[in-house]
Amino acid sequence: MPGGVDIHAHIAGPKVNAGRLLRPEDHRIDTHKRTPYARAGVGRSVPSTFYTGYAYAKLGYTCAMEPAMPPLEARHTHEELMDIPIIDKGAFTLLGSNWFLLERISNMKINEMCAFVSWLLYSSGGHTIKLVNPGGEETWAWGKNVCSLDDKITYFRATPRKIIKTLAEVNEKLSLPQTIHLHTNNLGVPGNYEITKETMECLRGIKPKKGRETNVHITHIQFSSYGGSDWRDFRSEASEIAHYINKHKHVSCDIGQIVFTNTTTMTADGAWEWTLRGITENLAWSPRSGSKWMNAQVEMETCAGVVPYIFRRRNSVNATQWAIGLEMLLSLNDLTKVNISTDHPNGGPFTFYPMIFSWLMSQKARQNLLKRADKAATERSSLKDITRELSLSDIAQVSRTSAANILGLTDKGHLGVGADADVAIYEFKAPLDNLNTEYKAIEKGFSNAKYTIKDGAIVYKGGKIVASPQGRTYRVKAEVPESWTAMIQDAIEERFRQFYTVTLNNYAIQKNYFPREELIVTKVR
Amino acid sequence: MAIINLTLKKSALKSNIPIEAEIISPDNFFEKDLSEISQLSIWRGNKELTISQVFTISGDHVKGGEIKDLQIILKGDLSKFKRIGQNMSEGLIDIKGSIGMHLGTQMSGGKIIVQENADDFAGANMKGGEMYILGNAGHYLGGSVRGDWRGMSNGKIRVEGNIGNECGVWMRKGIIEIGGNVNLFLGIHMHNGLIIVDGDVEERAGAEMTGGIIVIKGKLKKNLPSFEFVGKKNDIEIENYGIITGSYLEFKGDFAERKQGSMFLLESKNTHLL
Repeated sequence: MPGGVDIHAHIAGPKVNAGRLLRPEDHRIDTHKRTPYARAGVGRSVPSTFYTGYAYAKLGYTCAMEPAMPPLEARHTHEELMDIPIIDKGAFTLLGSNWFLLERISNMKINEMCAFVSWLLYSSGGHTIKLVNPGGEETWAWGKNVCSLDDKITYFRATPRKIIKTLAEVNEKLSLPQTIHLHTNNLGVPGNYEITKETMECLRGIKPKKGRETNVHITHIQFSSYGGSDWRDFRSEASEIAHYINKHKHVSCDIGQIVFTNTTTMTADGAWEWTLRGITENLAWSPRSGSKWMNAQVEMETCAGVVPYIFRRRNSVNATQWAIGLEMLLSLNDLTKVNISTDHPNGGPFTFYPMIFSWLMSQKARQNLLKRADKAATERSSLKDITRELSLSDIAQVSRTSAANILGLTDKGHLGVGADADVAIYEFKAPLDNLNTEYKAIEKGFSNAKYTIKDGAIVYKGGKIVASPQGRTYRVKAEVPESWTAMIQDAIEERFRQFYTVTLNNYAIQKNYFPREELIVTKVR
Repeated sequence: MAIINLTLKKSALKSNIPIEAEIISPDNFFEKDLSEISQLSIWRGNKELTISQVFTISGDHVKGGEIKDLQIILKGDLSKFKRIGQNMSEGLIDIKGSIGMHLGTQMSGGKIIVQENADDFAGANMKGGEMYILGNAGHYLGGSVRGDWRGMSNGKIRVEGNIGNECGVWMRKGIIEIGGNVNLFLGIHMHNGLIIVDGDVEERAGAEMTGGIIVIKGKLKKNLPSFEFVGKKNDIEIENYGIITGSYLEFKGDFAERKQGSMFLLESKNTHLL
C-alpha cells in the first residue's frame, strides 16, 4: 500500500504541549528506550515529538497534518514539526475568529480578504484554511458561545454563516488545491446535526475551483452528527448527514471515530472544552469535582482547551458515539470523500487506527463489540443493521488515497508514476479472503508494518526504526496581485503597532523553519 | 519458600546517581535462576548495569515454583534505589535497611517490609497487597504519581514512624495506618478509603477531600475552616475494619468540594478546635 496519510491529528503546537504538561501520568504508561536509530520517547495520547514520528512509521503512515495552528503560535508549531522525524507534515492555519477578518466581513471586500488570507497563510507557514467553531472562539473570550449560524459575534458585525461563506469563497478565489477545513459550530452538543446540515447547505452555491468537486471538508464529522435534545435521549443522526453527503458532491469529511480508551481531548474550541470539563463531574472515572482542564486565549486570533477524557464501553453516550463514527463511514457511497481519523488525540490516539480498520472490515468485529458495549449503541444507532464490510482496497482508499486527494497532495496516496516512494508493506497472519472473520489478524497486521519505506529508503523494518530522515513540510503560497496587498499593508502594520504583543517583523516565520520545504504555489482565479 | 539475598556491594555506593531498579520484584525473578537474575539490567542515570555489578547475589532459589513462595531480601543502604517492587503481584520483599523513592508503585499484591526508612511516593497508586515500614516514610505515602487523579485503589500500608506531606493524595480505597506524626495535607483530594493516625498532625488535614474517613488519635494543630463540626461520637464503627474505641469529635468536609468526607479527632486532645 502507499504510505498512510493522516488528515487530522493534533501532533504539534502549543495546545499539544499544554496537553503534555497537563498529563504526566500519560507519559508513564508508554515509555520507549533509545535505540541506535531512534531517540527515547514517552507518551500515549500526547506522545513526545520524536516518538510521534516513530509511531506513525510503525503503522505504515508517512504523512500527517496538524489541524489547528494559531498564527501567533506558528513558530512553536513549526519548531515541533521540525522535530517530528520521518513523516511529511503540514499545519492548518486557524482563521475562524481572526479580528482582522471579523472587522471586514460586514463590508466584504473580497480582494482585501484574499490578500490578508494569503499573507497570513504564507507568514504562518500554513497549508490549509481551518475554521474552528467559527466566531465561537472570539465570543468565548467574553464567556459566551454561538449556538446558531446567525448568532451575532460579540462586538463584531459578523455571524458564523458569513465567516464560513466568506472564507470558502476566499479559498476558491485563491484557488488553493484543498478546501477549507471546518469544525462545525455546536460541536459535541446533542442535536447538533441540524446546524451541521445547515452549514453544509449554506455552502452549496459556492463554485469549487477547477479539478475539484468539493468546497468544504467537515472535520471529525462524528462529533457533529448527534441527535436528541440532551444526554439522556442522545442518539445518532449519522444517516441524515450521510444522506446529505451522498446526495451532494460538495462535501468531504473525516470520521473522527472514538475508541474506548483513556485519552486527552484538545481543540481550539475552548468553549466546548469548558463544557466537557463540566460533564466529567458526573462520570465515575473522574474526580468528583471534575477533571483537570486547561483553557487559553490567543490574542485576537483564537482560543484552545485541553481536558483528559476516558471513553467507556459501558457509558451510553460513549457507546453511541462509537457507533456513530462507524455508521457514518459505512453509510457513505463515495469513499473518495471520506477518510479515517480519530481526531487524534480527541477520539483516541492515532495508534488505534488498526482497530478501526478491523471494525470497518469485519461485521463480526463490530457485532462482538456491540454486544459488550452499552445497549444504547444498538438502540440509538443503525450500526447493528449495517452489513457492509470494506475490502483491503477500500481501506487503502479511506486511510490514504482520499486524504491525499482532499489535501491536494498529488504525490501521495497512490503508487503510480511520479508518486513519492512512500510504501507500507503489511503481513497478515490469516488468508486475505478470511480477514473479515479473523479480524484480530487485521488489527495485528496493520499495527506493525513489515516494512515502511519513506522516499525510497526503508525506515521501519522487523519491529524497529532503522532510519529517521527529515520529512517535508507542506505550505502554500497563494499569489495575489500586488495592488491587493497594498490595500491592506497599512492596516496590518497599524494593527501590530496597536494591539499585538509581537512586532510585525517577528510575526512571520523565516525560511529556516522549513528544512525540507514543499511550497505549493497558486494563482488567484 | 525460596529465598534470594541481594547484598549491596560497597563499590556501588561510590556514585550519588539514583538507580532505577524496577526489575527487582518477585514477578521478574521467579522464572529465572540466580545466574540469569544476576544478568538483569538496571539503569544508573544513562548507564546500563547488571544486577551482579551492584549486588552480591545468593540464595536457594531455583527456576520455577510459585511467585508467592519467593522471598527477596535486600541488604545495605538502598536509599538511592527507586521503584523496587513496582507492579509486583505476589511474593515478599524484605528490605533490611532504608529504601529510595517509588517503593512498590502500582503493586497489586504481595508484601513489602522495610526495616528502616522509605522515601517519597512509597505505595503510590497501590492496587493491593501490604506494605510495612518500620521507620519513617517520605511525602506522598500511598498517593498517586504525578498527574494521576486516581491514587491508591486498595491494599494496606502501615508506617511505624513519622511521615511527610500529602499522604494518601487522591486515595480511592484501602487503608493507611501511621504510628507517628504527620506533616501537612493529610488525605488531600481523598475520594474514599481510610487513614488512621496515632500521632499528631500538622495543619490542613483532609483538604479538598470528597469522601473517605480520616481518624486522628493525636492532636490536629489547626483545622481547615471548610470543615464543619457534626457532633461527638463514641467508638467509631468502620466497615471492613472494625471498631475504634474512644470518644471522638466528628467533622464533615471539605465544603470547598463535595462535603462527603468524615474526619474523627480524639476528643481529649482536640478540644481547642471547637
